[in-house]
Parts: sequence; structure tokens; C-alpha cells
Amino acid sequence: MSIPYWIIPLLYVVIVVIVLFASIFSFYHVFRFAPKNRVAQVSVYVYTALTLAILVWTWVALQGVNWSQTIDIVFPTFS
Amino acid sequence: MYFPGQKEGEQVIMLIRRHWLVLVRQIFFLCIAAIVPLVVYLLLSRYTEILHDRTSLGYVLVVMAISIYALCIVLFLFISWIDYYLDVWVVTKDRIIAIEQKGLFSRTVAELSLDRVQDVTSDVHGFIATMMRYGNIRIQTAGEQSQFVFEQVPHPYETARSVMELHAQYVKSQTPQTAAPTPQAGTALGTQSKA
Repeated sequence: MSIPYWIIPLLYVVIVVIVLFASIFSFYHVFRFAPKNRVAQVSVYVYTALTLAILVWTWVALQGVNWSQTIDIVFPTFS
Repeated sequence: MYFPGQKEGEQVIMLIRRHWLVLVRQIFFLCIAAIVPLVVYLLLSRYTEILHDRTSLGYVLVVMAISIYALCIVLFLFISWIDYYLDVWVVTKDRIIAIEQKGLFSRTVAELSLDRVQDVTSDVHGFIATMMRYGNIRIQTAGEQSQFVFEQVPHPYETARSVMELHAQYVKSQTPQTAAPTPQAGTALGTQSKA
């Protein structure tokens, strides 16, 4: 049985989307309950920068991967 | 100084958050965990061939696993920071407001007028709390919520004293001034010159 390679980044994107939703909720709390607080705003920028840095690192690290190949899954046979 | 729900012209006397050591203790293990992907990456690149072949499945899985792990760690650090920073106790000239953020989806705001303060108690427990001078302040109230608690705040003794002083000042300012006594009929005020 073989599965396409692009299943792996698809799972990765699903997890990243969940993390981004949680981030949006966090930003909502900061901008609603501490709208004029400079420290809170800076913390949002720092978090955004760190998240973007991780995503950029991932994208750069995965350059050159052949996503059209397939993964062959071999089930063990018992004789 | 601004806080959510502040009335126009309302003067903030104290804005109190938990002691910074509380945040450090919360995120200490997360910070240790944040180093793990870096260590794993260095070990794998030095002692294995997985990261040398970009076309291999192992390389893709390792990179994505490290990326997801790092994203989750950074997210948990940020949520811990929000949980700490949005917990705040505000003391104004008229009232005390306790704002407590519990995770991302729960928030409690309680308000107490200064004239309902009945008793203020401060306590410090533990070696670290004693050395770093942070503890709890319990305010006994005459309202629906019988007790306000300032948890793990710095300088609890001084803060408790300040709250009591503010309560006394508020009560004094609300007490109507008694009128000066009026003279009774037939009683002469001052002196009359005798002929």
C-alpha cells in the first residue's frame, strides 16, 4: 500500500491551523482586556515574530523535498 | 493608568499583579522543554544521517515534528504569560476591582466598594515567599462575595495597610459633616457691656 507524500504536510498544516486559532484567541484577550497596555502589545509582537520564525525555518528546511513521491507501506507477513 | 471598566476620571491608586517569581515558576519547565528540539536537532545532525538526506521521509518527519513541538511550546508560553498578566487587582479611591483570567475561555471580574471593607488580613507562607516578600491579602467584605483575595502579590503587609487607610479615608469622606450648634433663645452670645 502506498500513500502520497503530501499527506504529511497536510497533517502539519492542520496542526498549524489549530495553533493559529489558539493564537487568535490569545490576541483577542490581549487587545480586549489590555488595549492600552504597551507591555501586552509588545508580548503579542514577540510571540508573532517567534511563530513566524519557526514557520519560516520549517519552510526553508523543507525546500528540495519531492512531494510527488509516495510512501510504500509494507505489512509484515507471517508464514 | 488604565484598566478595563474604568470610569471617567477615576483615579487608580494601586494596580497589583502577582509577583514575577510566580510567572517564572510557571514557565520554568516550559523553557526547559523549549531547549529539547534544539538538542534533538543537534544530536540527530551529528550522530545520524537522517538530516543529511533531504529526500528521505525521516528528514521530513523530524523537521515537522520539531516545528510543531516548537510552535506548541511558544503558544503555551504565551498563554501562561497572558494568564499571569491579565490577573490584576485594581484599587481606586472608591472601589477595589479583582480581574482574574483563568485560561483562555474564563474570566472573572469582581468589584467591591471601599466602604464594604470590614477586615484586611495579609499572610506570607514559605521560605521563598518570605525571602522574596510576596503573599496573600484577604479582604473581608460586607457584600455578596464575603472575601476578596489578592494572591501572591508583592509586599502584602504594606498593601494591606494601604487598603485599610484608603477604606478609612473613603468612609471619612462619605460621612456627612455635623452642623455647628445653634444658640438657644434667651442666651446672650458674646459679652454685653455693663452700664
